[in-house]
Amino acid sequence: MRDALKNSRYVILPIAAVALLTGAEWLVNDTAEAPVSAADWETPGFGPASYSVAMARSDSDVSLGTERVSKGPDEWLRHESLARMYLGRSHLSFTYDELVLAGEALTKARRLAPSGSGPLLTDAAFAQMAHQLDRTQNSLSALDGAAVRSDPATLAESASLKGDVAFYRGDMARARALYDDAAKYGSNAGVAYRYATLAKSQGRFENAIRHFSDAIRDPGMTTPFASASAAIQIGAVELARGDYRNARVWFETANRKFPGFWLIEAHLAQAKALEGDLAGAIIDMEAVARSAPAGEVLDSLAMLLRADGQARESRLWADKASAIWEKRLGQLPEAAYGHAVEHELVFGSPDKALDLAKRNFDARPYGESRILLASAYLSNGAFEEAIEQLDLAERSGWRSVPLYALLAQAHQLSGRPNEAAKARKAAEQLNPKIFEPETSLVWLSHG
Amino acid sequence: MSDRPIFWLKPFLVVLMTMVAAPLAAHSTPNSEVRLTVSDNRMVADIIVPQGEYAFGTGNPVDGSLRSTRLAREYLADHIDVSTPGGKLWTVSMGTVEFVQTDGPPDLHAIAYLVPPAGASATELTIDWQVLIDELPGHFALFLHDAEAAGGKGAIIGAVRKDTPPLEVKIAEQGALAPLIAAMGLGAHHIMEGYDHLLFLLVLLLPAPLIARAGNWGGNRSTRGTVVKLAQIVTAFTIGHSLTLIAATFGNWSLPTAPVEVAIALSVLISAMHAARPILPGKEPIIALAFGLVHGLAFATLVQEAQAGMASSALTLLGFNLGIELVQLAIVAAVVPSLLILSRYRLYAGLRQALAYFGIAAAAAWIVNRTTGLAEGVVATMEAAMSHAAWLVAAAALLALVLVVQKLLIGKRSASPMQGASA
Repeated sequence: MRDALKNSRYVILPIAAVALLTGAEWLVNDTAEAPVSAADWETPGFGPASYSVAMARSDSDVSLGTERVSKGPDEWLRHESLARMYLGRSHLSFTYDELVLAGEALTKARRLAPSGSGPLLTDAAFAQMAHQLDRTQNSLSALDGAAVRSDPATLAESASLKGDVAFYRGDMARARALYDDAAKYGSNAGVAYRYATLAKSQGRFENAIRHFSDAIRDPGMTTPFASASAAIQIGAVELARGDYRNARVWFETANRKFPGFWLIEAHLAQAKALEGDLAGAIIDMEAVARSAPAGEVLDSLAMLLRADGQARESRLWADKASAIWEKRLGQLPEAAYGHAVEHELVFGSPDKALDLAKRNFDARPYGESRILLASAYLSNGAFEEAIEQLDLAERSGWRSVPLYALLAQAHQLSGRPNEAAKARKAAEQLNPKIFEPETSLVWLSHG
Repeated sequence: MSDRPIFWLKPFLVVLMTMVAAPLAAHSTPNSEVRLTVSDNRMVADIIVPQGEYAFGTGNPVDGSLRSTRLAREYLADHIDVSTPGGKLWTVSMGTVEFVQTDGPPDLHAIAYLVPPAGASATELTIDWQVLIDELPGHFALFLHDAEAAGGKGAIIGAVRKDTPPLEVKIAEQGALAPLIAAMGLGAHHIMEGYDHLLFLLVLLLPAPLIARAGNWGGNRSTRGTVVKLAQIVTAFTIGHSLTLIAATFGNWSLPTAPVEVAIALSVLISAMHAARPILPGKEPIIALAFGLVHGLAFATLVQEAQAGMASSALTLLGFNLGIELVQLAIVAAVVPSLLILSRYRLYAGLRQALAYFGIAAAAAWIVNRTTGLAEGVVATMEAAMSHAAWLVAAAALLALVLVVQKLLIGKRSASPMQGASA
């Protein structure tokens, strides 16, 4: 027996090694985290359980805030409080009106506040929403110099917002470092969201999904709206990688958590189109557009109608969207530039698209802005400029499907088939469906 | 700084991020696609224009009525101009024009026949493509050459949009041997990605310079004997896999992939065991023939997967097989000289054992993975290592060269007369 084993050593040893490695691999896989699943989405802890309830509560909050301000117009805290009510409402709104009112209230609050104090963090948060990086930075700098030391939660959010400034200025490494600083104050949803956004911008889709899921890990601190928002974000990641079916599952989850929200309903309408029911998608999207005429929704509807060959109806809705974008450009230009570029590229003028894209880039010179700018350059026949912007975006660490798809197009138009093929391959690695015909139907949360 | 409660902050800021994270990117509108094929001394253009873009750009109806197709036909004919590189006009006539829906949103599909003037080549032309170019500044058309010999996949020729010059197209004429050459390339490409096939061949060659003695590999065959043995092995393997490749392809055998893959892994296991210990001494050509039959079944699956009408053509099947053979011969040519030299040295035993052990391990991993789905990481790691095998071959060649040079130098020193102070 011993001799037989000794003679069979040459077979037994390598097979035993393989068996050992296979076992180790199996153990590792078994203990690895299971993928995030919509079926396991936890029940949120508190807050309005639907859009209508949330809006009613917001009405009440704004009304109370307005009353408090009227009874104490010189108290900056009351103005800040009102601004927070408007900011909260702006997340539900399909207009920029509330955001504008929040900005005005914060400006008043800052004017009234003594030196070294004021609604600095709220102001920074507003400025971030309005894509005003300088204002964000100024408020955060003032916060750093505040007389009273901020509490950990404020310091964490301040670090996160500084990270956002770095991110939107194109410095992803610095953004990551600042988010890590914020995380030192304890894990929180805001940091998780930032990590998720960073991961998504670098094409690390699984990581992005996991971080979005981490954002609502604490059910006690999660509202139905927050839960639904995270679900939409995960759905958006699935769209980015071409998994339309899974994206729909997440949008349906969002709808269950927070029914009646126009943004979720618009995503569901778009999902219908991606499944081949263009007629049904148009009906649903039109219903959303009539009840919540957000510029993005109108653009999305116009695109669906265009794909269906309904040119006249498409132009009607696109014209309505134009009017909305013009209004928003007048209200909060930095926040509107990017969306307006998208609108102009498809429904408007290449010249105007390029002008807006340049302004958008000036406001936030990061990867996504470069991609928009590149697209505008392409529309104006400036292929080399487009390629330059895309190369710079890639060098900054950005790695997205639109980047590579556009790069492929730009190289093709410039007569560089090898580079075009390389870019196509990179795009398809991230999203195998990027060059399929139905991709053009993805207006909301594309990229 | 306010002393407001912080509890409102967290959920608010979480939601803030949902707005922050809303992506913006260049939204793509669907492009047109034109596939060009040379046929009967004219160019056939298979045109796809997204129906929605056509309707949006032209305002024409797209309801499939006679009027809509007539308007589409007229529009296309008015917006496509073709000429020779010298400027002589081609004739453009429209064939099929229809509104169809296959994958995704509906399209305007048309076939255009582009005929060159007398005396001009049908493979060189300049296309002035204006379909939707002026109406939709963001629209572009992608042009592909649809060559059957290239496996039915279009090779991208170029793209046009607003402000690009007319597209110059030059399609190389395909000779009669073009399908054969393309098939050879495909065969070579597939075998080079078939690590199990290559490893089988390599471990089969390892004991060729050796003679079996008392259950072990000991003693060397002569160089001539080794070369003859190698020729027998390679020829037997070629006959084996060619037989089943041809039979399976022309017989249209539909074989389950999994058992074939497991059988191939088993062939690697047995051959690697044989390289470590002579379990079937003197029977290497028979092993090669028998397992060659199995490998041929896997090649047949590759041919069927490659599609491209190859299976129906004896010429392309021959090409595919030739491609496989060329790669095998290249490997033999790269490896055998080193084997012949290194096998004369004691270090060869260790080298042979190491490669045999690796072969056994790789085969075991493949068997486990192909039967149970486990060991994916182990297989991936091994295949990653195998992808760098060329370095090992180069290292072996270098070692063999060093040993030969060393031997030659020692030989020279022995042959030279002693030279010393007393000379």
